[in-house]
Amino acid sequence: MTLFYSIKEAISGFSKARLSTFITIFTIFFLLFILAVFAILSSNVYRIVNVLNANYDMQVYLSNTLTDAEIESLNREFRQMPGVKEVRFISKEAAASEFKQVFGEDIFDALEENPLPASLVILMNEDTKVKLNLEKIAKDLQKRPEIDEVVLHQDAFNALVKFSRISRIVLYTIFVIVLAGSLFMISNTIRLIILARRPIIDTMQLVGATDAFIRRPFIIEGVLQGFLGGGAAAFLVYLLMQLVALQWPGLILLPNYFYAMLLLAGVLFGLVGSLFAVKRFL
Amino acid sequence: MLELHNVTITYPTGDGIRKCSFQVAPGEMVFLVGPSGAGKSTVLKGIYLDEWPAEGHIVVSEFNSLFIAKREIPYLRRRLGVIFQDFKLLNDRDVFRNVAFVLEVVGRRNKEIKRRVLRALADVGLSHKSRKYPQELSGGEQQRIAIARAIVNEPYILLADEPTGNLDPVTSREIMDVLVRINLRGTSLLVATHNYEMVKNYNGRIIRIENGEII
Ligand SMILES: Nc1ncnc2c1ncn2[C@@H]1O[C@H](COP(=O)(O)OP(=O)(O)OP(=O)(O)O)[C@@H](O)[C@H]1O
Ligand SMILES: [Mg+2]
Repeated sequence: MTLFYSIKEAISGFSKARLSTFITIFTIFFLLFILAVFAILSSNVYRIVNVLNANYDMQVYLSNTLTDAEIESLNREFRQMPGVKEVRFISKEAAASEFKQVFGEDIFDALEENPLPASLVILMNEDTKVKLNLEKIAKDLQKRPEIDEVVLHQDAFNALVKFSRISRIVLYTIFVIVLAGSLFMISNTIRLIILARRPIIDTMQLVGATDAFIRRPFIIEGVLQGFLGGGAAAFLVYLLMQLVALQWPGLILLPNYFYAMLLLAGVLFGLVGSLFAVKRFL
Repeated sequence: MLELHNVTITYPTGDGIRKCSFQVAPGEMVFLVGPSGAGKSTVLKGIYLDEWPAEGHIVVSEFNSLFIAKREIPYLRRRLGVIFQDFKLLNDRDVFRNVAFVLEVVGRRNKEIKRRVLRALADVGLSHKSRKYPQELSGGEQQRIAIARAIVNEPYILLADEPTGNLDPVTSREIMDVLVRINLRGTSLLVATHNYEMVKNYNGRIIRIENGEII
């Protein structure tokens, strides 16, 4: 009855400001989606680093002249370095078979001798990785004669660490923009609908409608816009997560309430935005 | 019970009404007669508190303009049925919903809304136009819709502002007959009009207003 009437009026209100309604829903959707992506990236940054960079942190290619004993002593030395979690030896043969796996052809087909160097792969502890200056360690190692080359597998990692530092700031900034943008869009749309319905509102007041009754359709409109925007954002994030999970299973862990929170955020924006407009323009 | 006690309403331009006093008893028929610009509409606006008395006070049923809180105004207005000089019909909905609107506003149930709207439309003889839109109706028909909307919530008193304003004599008569019939059922009736000749044919009390003062 009364609520049913309000909802009916709310939906008919949309048709009075169709474009504005659409733009508002889209804006809320878009802003919440960006916010969600940033939130996901920044809360999963270490997991992302681990998965994308799981195999090694530093690969030390050894000179061809080293004996097994010399390799063993290097291995032991690396193990005792601070922050090292694990050291793995990749022999020349293992390197060759890995080559075959990756490139699909036998390296001995073209060459008589195995040209691939043996290497030691050094995995660092996750928590110390950030603090240690791996670049300096790599450079020092590079100078030693028994070592051919040191390759750091941490470019992506560095970028992500940097990202995680600034992402918090960006996240807050985006949140403020989302909040202000959504509130503005919603209250502006509600304002347009109120203007379009001014004569109806005046007449309603003259025949004894309470303020609460007159306001309700507009509040419902705002909440509906927020709900649709938030829902679309939640839906797209869900799709995106499914895609990411196909490519990199376990890369991102997202609590189920994350989607509910997106939806709730949209609804809250809608509620606050329309309350503001109704207080201001009615 | 409707009472005006020394009511003064002043517009920013200086016009309005001055020290108007009169009463309308339950079931009474009263005509407020005066030339254009005399202040008839202003009196009615004071009664439904669209304009606020600067001096004096107005009593409608249990409401007194001196003591009424802003949030109580809707409840005062629900006691009144108002036929506005400019009708104030809503062009975005059909006749049925224009009338139903008043009951939706007060939160009546659908079944009751339907019953009451159909009866009000029958009272004004427009049942067959319930699916038309106001802009598809003649002036006289719009006037009747305005009446149906004013009576649908069974008001305590019916205020009609120039109900025969732009209508030919025959239609005016029909409209007046509708109002009189409603009055005979016990609803107080206050009609504001400039048409003294028409009013003389009815046995209601006549209050004359000129230049914002009751004479
Ligand atoms: N909103 C307003 N602002 C300023 N002055 C107004 C306003 N409404 C009415 N007036 C003035 O107040 C006086 C009384 O107006 P009112 O509308 O009450 O007259 P009326 O008797 O209803 O006239 P009519 O028969 O033409 O409807 C007039 O001089 C009018 O110009
Ligand atoms: Mg008038």
